[in-house]
Amino acid sequence: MKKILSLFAVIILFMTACDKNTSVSNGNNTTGQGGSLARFTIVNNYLYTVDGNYLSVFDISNNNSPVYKNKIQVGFNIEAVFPFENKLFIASNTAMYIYSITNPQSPQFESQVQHLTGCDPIVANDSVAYLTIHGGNRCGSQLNQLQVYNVTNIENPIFKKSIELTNPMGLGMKGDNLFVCDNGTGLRVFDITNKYNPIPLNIITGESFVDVIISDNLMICMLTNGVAYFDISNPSNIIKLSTVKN
Amino acid sequence: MVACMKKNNTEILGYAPVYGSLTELTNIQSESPKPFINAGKIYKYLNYTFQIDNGEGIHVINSTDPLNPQKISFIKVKGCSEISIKNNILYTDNHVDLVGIDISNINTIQVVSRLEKVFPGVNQEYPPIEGIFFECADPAKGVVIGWTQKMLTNPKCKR
Repeated sequence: MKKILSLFAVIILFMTACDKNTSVSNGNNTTGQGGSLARFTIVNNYLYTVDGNYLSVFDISNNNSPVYKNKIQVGFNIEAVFPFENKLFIASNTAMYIYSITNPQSPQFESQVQHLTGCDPIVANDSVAYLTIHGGNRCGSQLNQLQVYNVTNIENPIFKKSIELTNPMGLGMKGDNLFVCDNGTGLRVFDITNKYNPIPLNIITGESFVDVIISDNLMICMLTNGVAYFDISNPSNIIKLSTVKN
Repeated sequence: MVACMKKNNTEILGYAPVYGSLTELTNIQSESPKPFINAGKIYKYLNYTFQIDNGEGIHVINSTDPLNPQKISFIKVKGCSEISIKNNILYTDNHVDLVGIDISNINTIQVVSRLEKVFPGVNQEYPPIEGIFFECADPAKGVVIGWTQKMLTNPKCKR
């Protein structure tokens, strides 16, 4: 009898485990996390999207009926949007735009920085913005750089430094480290203890890296052919955990 | 120059439209996992990683154990390239529409909202690259859901 009971317990446990596999519950008020190349981003009850020349605002407070609230002309060839607190950093292929979303339905233009033509995702916080520019056919330039701006005063971003790379794409930061996908070369890790002067620390090779999502000690990488997972608890000794391809 | 011509036909690498019907375009459903075709952007939500397959749909990966992540399903969404999730609602672009998909149960997803024609979508007249030949789009054949590289014979359109 005891044996049967424990078998029963095992079955129940197994069923619970199966359930966990397909049910995405506990998602109440949870927002996910995208990479730096994203053109969709959610901040509180609003979904912001960029396409072509426009920034659009959708109110998603009601799960089943989003409302299209606003459409703002930003610039040409917008590539990506990155949120930080009450700001949106918008990357076009000729400029970086900063919008305030203190009034979330009506993003307010704060400033822009023109740079040479190229595709350019951004990551930023309250004092620094890192953006990459890469060349190639679609992007209209041969420039390949990481650029650093002081954005403490969002009305007046100040260019601090540029670093030549091979073909940089997405990027992410965590604490004193900046991770830059330099497609064709590898994933470059910089020490940003001095945030305006990134120092090369490490390079991870063996995959074709396009973008990253950093979640605590886990780095999820978009590859040209799938996904890779890394443990980044020690930035000097990054450990590949797995890949999903095919 | 003459060597390139066969019976006055010119063959050149260019672009051709990929057509889809509106019914097929808006048919969103959960399917079994499939291989990556054109791996796109990634997104993390709870213990899941989502990866777009450009124009085709969204791969769902259970990454609870990052040492052993598993593809568990594929959400077919034609014309998609973007993703964002809140409160178990996945927002994505379905060609020119914004759709909200309830993913509370990943195997029985449900489209709960659709805002029509809020995105520019794929250009219906020409490919996204300049300085090339392409097969002229024919609206009678359906909606252009993408442009693909192809060897063309005597293409009439150039951009």
